[in-house]
Amino acid sequence: MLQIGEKPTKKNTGELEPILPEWLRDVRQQARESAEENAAQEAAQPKVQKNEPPDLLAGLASQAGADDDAIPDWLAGINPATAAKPSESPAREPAPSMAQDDRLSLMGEPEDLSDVREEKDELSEWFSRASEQPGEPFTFEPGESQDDLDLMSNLDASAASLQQPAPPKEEEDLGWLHDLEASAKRSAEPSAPRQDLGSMPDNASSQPSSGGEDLSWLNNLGGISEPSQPFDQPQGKPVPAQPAAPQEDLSWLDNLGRTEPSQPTQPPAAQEDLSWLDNLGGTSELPQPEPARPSSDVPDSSSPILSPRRTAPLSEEAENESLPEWLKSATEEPSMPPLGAGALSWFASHDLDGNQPAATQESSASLSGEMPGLSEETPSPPFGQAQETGGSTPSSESLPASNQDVDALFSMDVPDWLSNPESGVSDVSLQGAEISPAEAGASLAPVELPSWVQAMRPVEAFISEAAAGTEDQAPEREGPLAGLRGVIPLLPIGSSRRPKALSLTLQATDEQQAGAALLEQILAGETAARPLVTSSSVASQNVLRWVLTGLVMVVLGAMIGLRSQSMPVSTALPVEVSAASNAIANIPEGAPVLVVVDYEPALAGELEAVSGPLLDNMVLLRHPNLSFLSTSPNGSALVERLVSNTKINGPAPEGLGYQPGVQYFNLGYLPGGSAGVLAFIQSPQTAIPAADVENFSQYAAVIVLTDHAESGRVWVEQLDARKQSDPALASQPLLMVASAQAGPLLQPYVSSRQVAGMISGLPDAARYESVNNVPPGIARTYWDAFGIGLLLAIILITFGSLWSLFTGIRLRRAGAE
Amino acid sequence: MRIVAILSAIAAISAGIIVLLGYFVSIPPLPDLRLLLTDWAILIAGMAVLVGIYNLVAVQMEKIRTRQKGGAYGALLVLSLIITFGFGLLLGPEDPWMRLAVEAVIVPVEAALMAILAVTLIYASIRLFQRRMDVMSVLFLLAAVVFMLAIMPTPFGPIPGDWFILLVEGAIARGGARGLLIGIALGTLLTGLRVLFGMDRPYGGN
Amino acid sequence: MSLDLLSAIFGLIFTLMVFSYLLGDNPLFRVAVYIFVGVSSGYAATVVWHYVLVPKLFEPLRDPNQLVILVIPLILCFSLLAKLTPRISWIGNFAMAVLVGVGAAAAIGGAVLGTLIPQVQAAIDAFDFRAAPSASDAFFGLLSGIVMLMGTVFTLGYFHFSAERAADGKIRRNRVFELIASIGRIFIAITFGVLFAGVYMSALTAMIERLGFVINFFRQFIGI
Repeated sequence: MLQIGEKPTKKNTGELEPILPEWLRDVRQQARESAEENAAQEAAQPKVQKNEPPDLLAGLASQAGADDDAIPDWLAGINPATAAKPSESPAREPAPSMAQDDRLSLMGEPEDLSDVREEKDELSEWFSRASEQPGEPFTFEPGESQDDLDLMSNLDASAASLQQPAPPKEEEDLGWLHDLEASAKRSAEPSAPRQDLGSMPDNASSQPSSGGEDLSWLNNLGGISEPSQPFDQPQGKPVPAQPAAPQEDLSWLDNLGRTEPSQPTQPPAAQEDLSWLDNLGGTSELPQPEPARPSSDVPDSSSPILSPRRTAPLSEEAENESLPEWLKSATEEPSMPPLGAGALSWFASHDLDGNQPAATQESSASLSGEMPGLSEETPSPPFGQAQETGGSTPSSESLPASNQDVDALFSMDVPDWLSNPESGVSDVSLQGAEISPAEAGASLAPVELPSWVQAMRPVEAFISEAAAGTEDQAPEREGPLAGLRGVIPLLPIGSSRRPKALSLTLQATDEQQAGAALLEQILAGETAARPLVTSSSVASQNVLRWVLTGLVMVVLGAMIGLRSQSMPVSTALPVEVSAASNAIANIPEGAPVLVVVDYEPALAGELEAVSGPLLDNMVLLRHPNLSFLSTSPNGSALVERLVSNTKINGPAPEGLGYQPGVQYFNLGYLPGGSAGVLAFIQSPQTAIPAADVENFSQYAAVIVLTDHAESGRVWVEQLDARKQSDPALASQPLLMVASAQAGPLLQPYVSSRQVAGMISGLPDAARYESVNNVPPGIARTYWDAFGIGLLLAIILITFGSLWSLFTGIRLRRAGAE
Repeated sequence: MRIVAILSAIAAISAGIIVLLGYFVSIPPLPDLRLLLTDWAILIAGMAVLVGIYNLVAVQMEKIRTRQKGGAYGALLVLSLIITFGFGLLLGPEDPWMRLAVEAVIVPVEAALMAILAVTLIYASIRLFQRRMDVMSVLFLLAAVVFMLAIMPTPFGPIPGDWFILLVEGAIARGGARGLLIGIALGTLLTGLRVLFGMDRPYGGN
Repeated sequence: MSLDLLSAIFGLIFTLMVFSYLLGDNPLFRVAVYIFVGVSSGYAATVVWHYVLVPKLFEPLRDPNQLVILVIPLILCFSLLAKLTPRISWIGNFAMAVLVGVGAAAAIGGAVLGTLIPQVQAAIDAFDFRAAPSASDAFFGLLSGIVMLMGTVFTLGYFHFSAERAADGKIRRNRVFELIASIGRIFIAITFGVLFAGVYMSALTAMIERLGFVINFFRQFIGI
């Protein structure tokens, strides 16, 4: 397991030969055979060491739009002769980028394909050249594993979405690719868009010359030194790199995932990009692709969908001189930092156009899905990152990563050597580790992963900066991470594991911001204090009030000042007033009468005017002993005023000559509301010690003077409830003297005969006065002014309401308009 | 304080049940107990008036101490209260000087306040249709004007047909008033029962 | 200076101070109102002290026989003083509970026995023609009874606010109740109109009384 900060360890590709799928082995075999033919040509061409990680699938992008070319472009591009030819199809559609996107999505890495699309698709050029060549069977060494075949098939599926037009075919021996394809068809699920990748063998076959050069690396896959027998060697013997021009041969891999059509001017870059392919496995030159053969002639086992990926040398011996140069690069230190160790910054710091650092050695890796033309550079960065750089520039450093990703795509089952944990960041060297097919199948011995496989391990990029070295961390002892080290990076003390800083700025469009600003204004308007009424409106209201005040004051004052008593008083007594008069007449002589003073000083004038005739009449007629009681504190203070204004206590002959404490008693204040009334009714002396009676029934009558219906209602209710239990109270009349505002609400009690009689307001009092020949009292004094006041109110209300009605209609119409 | 709430509820419910039963049952010693409780209620209510007045003083004193707006008026209120209560404690409410307070201050102020209400009511009636114009407003003002018209004395005597107006309007008003009274009684009944059942505890039991 | 004259002078001053409110709110009006509240509160406290607490609570304490009976109300009354302090206000809960319980019971008894039953009975008795002295009285009594019954029923129906959610999501009362409420609104409007007239008449009477007071004062002052 690759830990954070670790560099992928190099593996000897030759050691993995036995586990290669059969078709891959066939392809390799063919490559070796054709490599001999191309060896001379490649040797004549300059080699440009590319230390960039190979972009395994760069060439796939160029192959996406390829037609049904027999020779794939990547194979076509291997041939340096054909690489110089403008063999790339002019149309380089975005399909490569799409395929690249697919691959990137599979790898779970962010995509940045802009550079990929912008850069020249050199691998596609290679592919196009290869497609023109007759497909050559490409046989891999025995030991190909099913995983490799699956990897190739997956790569085929992903690259097929490129849908690129087929590059110009080149004459190249790419028969081994036909074998790859055939073998892929046998074992893998054939996907529809395979034509692009399927054209690789055709391309390869159409470009025998370049393909032969380009496929020289295949001879070295698995550690073979000669192109013909790269994989016959036992495990651990890397195949020497082909001396053929690696850069141009590997251009197809650079073009993997690119959208742009490969330009004719790309051969030099393609040469650079494909250098890693040369170095893969130690081969110095790429094997010459076999002549293109029909796909039907290609055995299934040797018809890879994609060119096999490079693999790192499986042992240190792979780094020997026997290793082709293109395989040697695989065993070198990766030119790119390992995943998580500032990989992104590494990419940013490097010029994507080609100034790549020296390729690191590639660790030995599984040979599943090995691609031809892979450089030796360690594909340490993940596939996506590789595409970022590999797509932009045909860097050889990205190619190994691409190849690694292709391997990952092809492999269906992860071999043990992939799943074994990594011990440290170091070049993987399988010292004495020989993996035989039998061993691989029988026992899953832990094997050090090749660097490019290690580079494919997902890591958390954002922790890379602060992550401590994994070698400092102790391996986990328990849990799912047992035996692993550095899976959860150990941050130094004091560091906070913070996620990647993300911008919290809301990415709002201008329209959205304008809408938000408008909403803000609306809300501000709702919370803002509304301006007060304009002064003109307030002034008009004040003027109206002043006019009304003056009018009322003047009119009433005049009537009062004139002491007018010209208005007649009706002698028709209402029923309730008549009943009250009758009740007074029936009071026994000198009997105690309870007078409840339950009005406020505000209406003292009215109640004194209203109650005066009744009290005067009663005193005159029956000379009762009056007991004054109040249920309000100020009521007790109004008793004297009442008695004085009604001339009860006035000296004769003007007054009635009643003496306090003799003829009338002020019992004072009775608190408690209904409870107090109940208590007084139950036992007057218990409730009011100064009461002059022991039982309430001793009162001959109860007269309630009230200015509000509530007080009158309480007395009515409590008395009526008491009457049901005390028959003696049945003949006790309850009389009400109410103000004009309380009279209407107390009328129902009169209708129900709970109240014997009621005088309500000044009109009733004036009539009572008039009928009973009571000396003129306050009621008669107020009568004319009262009439004028009512008339004034009627006129003002009527005309004022009409005026306000028209004004309101006009305002509403104006508002509606 | 849960035990206090429970005891308070028990006191309220038990006192209420005893008094309510007294309306329907006259079995001794229920009437005496009922009288005792109502007498206690009078005392407590009287004390409550004093507590309320003291609270009024405390609020005004706080306004004065914190120098809030209207604190000067509050000082005037407290001063007049203390003087009146002081004289009242010494002289008694029947003293002529105490009657002076009633005749010179209480009655004139309250009566004047009631008097300016007449102008205010006319002013409000004039502006009623500006604020609200619907059938109810028209009916309301029409009923008031017609009633005052029927009541109003004229130099020529009452207006013709005033009896009819008063009869009809009186009947309608009585019907409405009876409905209001029944509604008030029902509301009082419901509120009282909620207190007796302990559902409402305005005495601080919650 | 007699108390009557002093009373009249102060009365006039305070009356004019309150009348000044018709011109607008002003400090004179506020002074008059605040003094009134103070004097009224002080007088109320005096009345409570002299008419309630002293005769019912303190004077009986002189009699040892009544001491035992008055212990509980004495405690209850003074426990109300704890209401002034929020921290110990719970002490006054017992006294308030007794007051509220007794008041609620009295209100219930009065409402049921004093209003509900008699008013319902009265509404029924309005159709009792046997009490009518003559046929015309019976006829007018019947009409009056019908009107009053309608007014009672429709007014009570107006205050029935139970509603249900209709199919369109709006909350509406039952159609029958809606009709009853509409008619009840008419009765209520007329009743309130009559009440409004009564309030104006009361206020008018108060205005006449006050103006009369002022005019009579000046008349006596002038000597007219």
